Amino acid sequence: MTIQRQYVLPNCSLVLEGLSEDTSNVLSILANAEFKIVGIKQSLAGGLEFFQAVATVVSAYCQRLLSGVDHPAHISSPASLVSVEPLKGQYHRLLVKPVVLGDSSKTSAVDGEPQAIQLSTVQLFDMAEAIDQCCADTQTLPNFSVPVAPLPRRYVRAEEPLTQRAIPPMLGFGTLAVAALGLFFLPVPELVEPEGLEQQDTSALADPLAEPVGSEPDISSTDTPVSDSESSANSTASDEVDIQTVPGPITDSVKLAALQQQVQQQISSASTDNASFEQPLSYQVSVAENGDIVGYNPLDDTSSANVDSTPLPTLTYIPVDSAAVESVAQFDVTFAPGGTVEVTSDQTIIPEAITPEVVVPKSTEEEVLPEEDANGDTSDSDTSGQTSAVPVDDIDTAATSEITNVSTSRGLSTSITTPIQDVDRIYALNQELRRTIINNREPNWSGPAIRYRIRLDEDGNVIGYAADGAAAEQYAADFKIPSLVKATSTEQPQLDFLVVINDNNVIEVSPWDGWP
Amino acid sequence: MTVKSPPEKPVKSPMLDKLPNYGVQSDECPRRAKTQLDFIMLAIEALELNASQVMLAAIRDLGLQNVLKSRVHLWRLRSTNPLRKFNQRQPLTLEEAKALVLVVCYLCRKLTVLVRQLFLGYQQLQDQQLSLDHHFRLAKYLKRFRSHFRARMNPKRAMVLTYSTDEKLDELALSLLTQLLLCTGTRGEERLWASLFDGEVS
Repeated sequence: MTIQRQYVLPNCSLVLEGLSEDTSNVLSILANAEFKIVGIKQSLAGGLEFFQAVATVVSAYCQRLLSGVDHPAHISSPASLVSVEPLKGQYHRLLVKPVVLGDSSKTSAVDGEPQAIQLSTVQLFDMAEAIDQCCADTQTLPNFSVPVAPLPRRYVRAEEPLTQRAIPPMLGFGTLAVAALGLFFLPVPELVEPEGLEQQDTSALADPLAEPVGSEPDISSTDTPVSDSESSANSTASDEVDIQTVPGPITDSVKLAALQQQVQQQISSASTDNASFEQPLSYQVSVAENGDIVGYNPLDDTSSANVDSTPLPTLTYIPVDSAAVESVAQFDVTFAPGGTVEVTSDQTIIPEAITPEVVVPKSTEEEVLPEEDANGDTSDSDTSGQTSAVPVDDIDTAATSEITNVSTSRGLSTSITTPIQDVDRIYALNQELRRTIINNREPNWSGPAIRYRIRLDEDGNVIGYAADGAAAEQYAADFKIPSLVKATSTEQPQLDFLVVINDNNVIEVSPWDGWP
Repeated sequence: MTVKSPPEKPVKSPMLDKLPNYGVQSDECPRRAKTQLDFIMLAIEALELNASQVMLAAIRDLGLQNVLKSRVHLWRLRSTNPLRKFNQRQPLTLEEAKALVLVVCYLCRKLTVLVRQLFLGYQQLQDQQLSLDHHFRLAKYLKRFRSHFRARMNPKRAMVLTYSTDEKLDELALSLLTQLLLCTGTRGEERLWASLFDGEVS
């Protein structure tokens, strides 16, 4: 009993005839398959082989239509029985070898010539759809299926030939090679050792220092009319001349140290033991490069009054040609009643006044003397008011050994050479100092906030102190700070402490450089 | 506001599993696939005026809301096409691509009649050797496709430059129409899904 299956679609119908293996209604053995296409008189018929070939090819061609990539199955080749190729527009040519066609009466005259059928897209689609429906039909040819799978990469040929595709990377590599070759011949830059760190540092320091020192001439020039001109007119005049027309101050710290020594020696050798003054006299002295004192400037009234008691007028060398003034350095000279002389450099420290790096190594960097505290120009001067801070009794003990010693331990004119480093000791000293000051203060004291810098040695002795500001100097006596000061040698480790007394009479003490 | 029923658990559509992964290692679609999907959807939009609404309805009908979350998400997925003006440099995952394939085939089946009509018209025009303007519906489709394409695709891209003339765009539109026709078949999803990976699998 032949079983017939028919799949009818608008443009194509497929008729399958066959037998079933067993008694069920499943068409498992195909006898004949016939495609009838609307608009084409001739139908395509054939056996299983034909049907399979058509199914495979049409399916592959549909995939090609979808993706645009040619599948090898539908391409015509000598071995293929069926093939499809695209034609212009929406037409496609189906080529079938007559061998597979069962219907011999309608084959073309020449045997072996493939039969060509022109199909429109819709017709082709309907053919494919019929085949798909047949595959989906479980009652018909259950073992038959047309697999739909993507095409593996190896079947796809790239659009551009390999040589053309390889051009950009080859070009890139070639350029890289040429550039590398070119750069290879460039000379390696030579390494030059830095000439010496000190010189670099001093030159670095010189620049910020040049500015404040440059402002000194202005300050001192305003000073001269202010202070009583009891000092000899010519020295004042020469001061004015010198200081106002100074071309460039000497800023080299090495030179400064040398000059300082020279000046110290000059003055001490020339100073006689005439203690005709009770208060220390201080002058600002200009020293030329060769060590000659070219001018001096008294810093307060008593200094100007007693200038003749000092060797300064005799030592001063007034250059003949005042216009040809060379660069000078400024020093502060203090004559104590005991007959000792102290010379300090007038340089300002670089900003952030007391930083550890600055304090420790440079013995030539001294602190600024505030020029009449009214002048606020000396920028970072939160440090010592030296002239008022030096107690008289200190001088006797330290006298001769310290004249030639640049770094004195009196007052706080110098940096600490060996700071105390033990944390517990620092803490203990801190507390001790605080106790001492609290014990010494008046309970009902009131005044503005004041600060002091107090230097202690390891045993807790107050070596020196510096008042920060005019108010602090004023009230130093209230807190009996000057009386605390004892003299000691420089070799012992020391440390600075900051004492802040605010307007509520609260005392705070801490290490000047912070807790370690 | 009272809610009487527990929230709907998102159920993954079983149809997604019918489409195999073809051994693609990463979860990303190949470049050509993104372009092809976007173009097909562009063709659908050119065929039907209310396409975006219909698309969203199709997503609901097919139960693909958890994959294609919203209109904006759909737009972003389509914008993964590298030829778009506002190309989203994000990958199109396989699951999202499968969902798009299902939606496309669903919509194509709804448009079967129209597609066949257009093909018939095209055939007649070609037989009589008339220009494509003579068939009203076909001309409308082509015109709309051209305007959509030019509005959305980045003209600086080399691929887009090949479609700079009207004729080329018409050719593209017609080839896409063929693809739409093929998607209406019984195995439309399978065929479309396989065609996305042509030449990409090892």
